[in-house]
Amino acid sequence: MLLKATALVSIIGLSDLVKAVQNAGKSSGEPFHFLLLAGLVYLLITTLTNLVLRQLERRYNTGIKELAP
Amino acid sequence: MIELLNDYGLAFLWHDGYNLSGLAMTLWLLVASIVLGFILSLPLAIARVSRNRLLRWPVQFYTYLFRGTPLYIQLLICYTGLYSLEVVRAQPLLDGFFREAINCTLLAFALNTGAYTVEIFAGAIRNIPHGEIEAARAYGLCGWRLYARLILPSALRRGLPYYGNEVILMLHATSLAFTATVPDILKVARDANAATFMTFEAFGIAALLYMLLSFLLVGLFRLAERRWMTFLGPTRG
Repeated sequence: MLLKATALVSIIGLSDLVKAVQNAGKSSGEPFHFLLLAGLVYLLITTLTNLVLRQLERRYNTGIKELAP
Repeated sequence: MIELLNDYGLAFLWHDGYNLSGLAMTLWLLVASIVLGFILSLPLAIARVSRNRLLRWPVQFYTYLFRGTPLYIQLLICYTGLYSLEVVRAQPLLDGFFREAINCTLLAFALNTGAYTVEIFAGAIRNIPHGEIEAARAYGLCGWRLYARLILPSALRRGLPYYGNEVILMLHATSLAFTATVPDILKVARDANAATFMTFEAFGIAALLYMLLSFLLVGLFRLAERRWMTFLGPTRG
């Protein structure tokens, strides 16, 4: 959740990924492709975080019985 | 403070002289996106728990995509991204739709909250005790009747606390609409701030309005939970 909230800092003027992408979009005239790229970068980070968390959950929940899905 | 209220009070609440603004606009954004997301999420949640991979995987991909990226990026793609494409502007229908900021905002919000709602309802459907479904089968319910009479009502009740949470998060998320020039509460506060330099007062009023709405939603969902979830609690003698 926090990762996705960080996307907001560009509104108050910090130069994060979103700001860079918006500038690139403005100067090149094709914001769509750059925005898709930014989306992919965020997707990559969330996927990695999810994988790590799932590993941690598996590691520290080994003693707890899980219901069959 | 008094002159700020005199000048911007009406704009904060519901009208800025040209169209809806402030509280009314925020409420409209919230209600429209929640209703659209809800309608979208019911069939998708059933598909999400389906045994058929062809049904399950597209929905899983959709929720993964929309839960994995920030709402701000989704809004930017809908608002600036899509309209910059030649293909979109060439189609009169798409051109008319994406030219209006409010349409782009509602599309992004509805798809975003829809993705979260699908996961909430799919989780609730998975958590229905097997005994309930066996009992319904024993009474001869099957197919869509089983879903309409038992699975959906039960899942909606079980999902209610999580759904209420999602609605309140969505209320907070509507404050992003100002980046797409939609005149919601935060846009009015920013305009008032830019015109009067009474920063604390302008944003303070906005914060109070959002807090009021949150309290209202929390109260409404508490009433709804008391009404529809009593059967899950301990019986009172």
